[in-house]
Amino acid sequence: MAGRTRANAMKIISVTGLEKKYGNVQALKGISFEVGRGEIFAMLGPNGSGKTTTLEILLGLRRHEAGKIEYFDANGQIGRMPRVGAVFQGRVYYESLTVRELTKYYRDLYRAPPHNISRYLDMVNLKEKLDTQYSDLSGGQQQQIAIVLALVNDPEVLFFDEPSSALDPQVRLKIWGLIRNLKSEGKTIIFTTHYIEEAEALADRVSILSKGELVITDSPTNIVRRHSENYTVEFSFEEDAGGDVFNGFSNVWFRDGIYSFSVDAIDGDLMQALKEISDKHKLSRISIGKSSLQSVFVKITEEKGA
Amino acid sequence: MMKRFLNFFAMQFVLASRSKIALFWSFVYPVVMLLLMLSVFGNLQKSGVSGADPRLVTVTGVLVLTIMSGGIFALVTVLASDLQSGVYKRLKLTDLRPLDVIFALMLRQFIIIVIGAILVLLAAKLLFRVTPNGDIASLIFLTTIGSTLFCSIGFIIVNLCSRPPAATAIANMIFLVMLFLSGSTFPKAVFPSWLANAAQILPASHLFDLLEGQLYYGEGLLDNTKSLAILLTMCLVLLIVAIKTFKWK
Repeated sequence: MAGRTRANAMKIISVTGLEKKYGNVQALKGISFEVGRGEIFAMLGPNGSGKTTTLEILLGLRRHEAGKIEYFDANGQIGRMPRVGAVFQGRVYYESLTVRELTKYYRDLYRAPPHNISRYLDMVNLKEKLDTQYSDLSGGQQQQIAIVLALVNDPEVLFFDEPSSALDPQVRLKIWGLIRNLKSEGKTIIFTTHYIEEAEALADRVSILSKGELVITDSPTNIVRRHSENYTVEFSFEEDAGGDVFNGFSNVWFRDGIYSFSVDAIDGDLMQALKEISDKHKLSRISIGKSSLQSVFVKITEEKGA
Repeated sequence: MMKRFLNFFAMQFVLASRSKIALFWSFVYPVVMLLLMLSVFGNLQKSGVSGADPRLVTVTGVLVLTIMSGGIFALVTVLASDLQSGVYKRLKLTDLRPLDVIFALMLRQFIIIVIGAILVLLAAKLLFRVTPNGDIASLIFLTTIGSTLFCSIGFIIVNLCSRPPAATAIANMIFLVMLFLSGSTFPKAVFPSWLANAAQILPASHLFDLLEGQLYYGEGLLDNTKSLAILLTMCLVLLIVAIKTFKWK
């Protein structure tokens, strides 16, 4: 019993058999996972895989048909939903209010005592924008302010729905830095993304969702180690090479004009096969590399037909 | 609890003051309608009441229009758009309760409606020298009931429509039906009897009758207890439905 309580103290959320339907569409097909206290947990999946639905159910914004969600306190006891903050996609703030007004008004909408968020404004270098209306900020600035506004109640768990979607690379890196800082303050962070590099760069553990099913949950390193062969070979041709070019190879995927497959080892047989292909067809690109989360993600989601 | 309500109310008031569209529909539109309607209907005589200014019937109609427009139109337009963009999804994560939202928005609309009504009465007095009968307390009471009732209708429309264009279309339809059948624009005396009877199911009809009793006939509130009872009952029922059907998304 004591052991179980200790194990529970390590986790903050446990989800078991979560199911959700929209009309006749089964959006979530009984997904289960746990989120550890203080970890960054990513839900990675293509559009329509059920990431946002899961996140909104966890936040209490949507009902679910079946399954159980449990929240644990620091002593490992099942408790109430912790203080949460959330950053959603889109413009979910009143745009004619200034940053100063938004921070003041939203802070006072909570029972919790006011939390000093000025250091977060310092962190994102937007203090000089305090008297700017939200609508006059750039997309990147709006997203950073949205993160600051999610912190007004000093949340224990932060939910991000596609935190850096449609942002330029500099802003994306800035937001990633901010998220890492929040983790270092002990906050638990759960985010959805369809950017593999974002999950790989930020998450301690990743759940890959496909068509409402949770295919795998593990650290990015373990996912690659457990679910990929060792090397990924990628090709593209200058002109259509025809379907029979990869006869003799198994599990060849095609995406965005690039053929790819995985192999256990780079040996003489492989090199001979590649030479034969390049003799027959003009290649525009060929690469052989260690398998990545990207290749595993593509493989898993394509196997699921997503 | 009160602090969060007042804070949300203050935020809503700042937002309304920055919305040019809301300001136009709340303050400019009723006065323009008063000018137009008094120009069109101002010379029509109403028989049977000696000494009363017949233009007060038109002023009454514009007051009902002001209350309906502030309660249904302004609320539906803003709320439907905010719900769709996810503003309320974010607000649900705060410690606000549905009742805080409903009553803060209703209070905001009530204040806007009262200011609009004062502008209408002032314009009538200063530009057309029309002075209404009735007492201020009864007028404020009827404006409160009317404002609460039409705001409730606005909430119900938004709560039951999944998309803003549908909500706006339904709000338009309800607004126009009540505008034309309540007596606010055309006297009910010219309606065929079946239409006059049908018009009595509209809350705007009873509000018009009660305001007309005040402003034109100089009656007290209890001189038309039937309309008053119907209006209060409708207000209570619609308010309960608005609260029960409230949704954050």
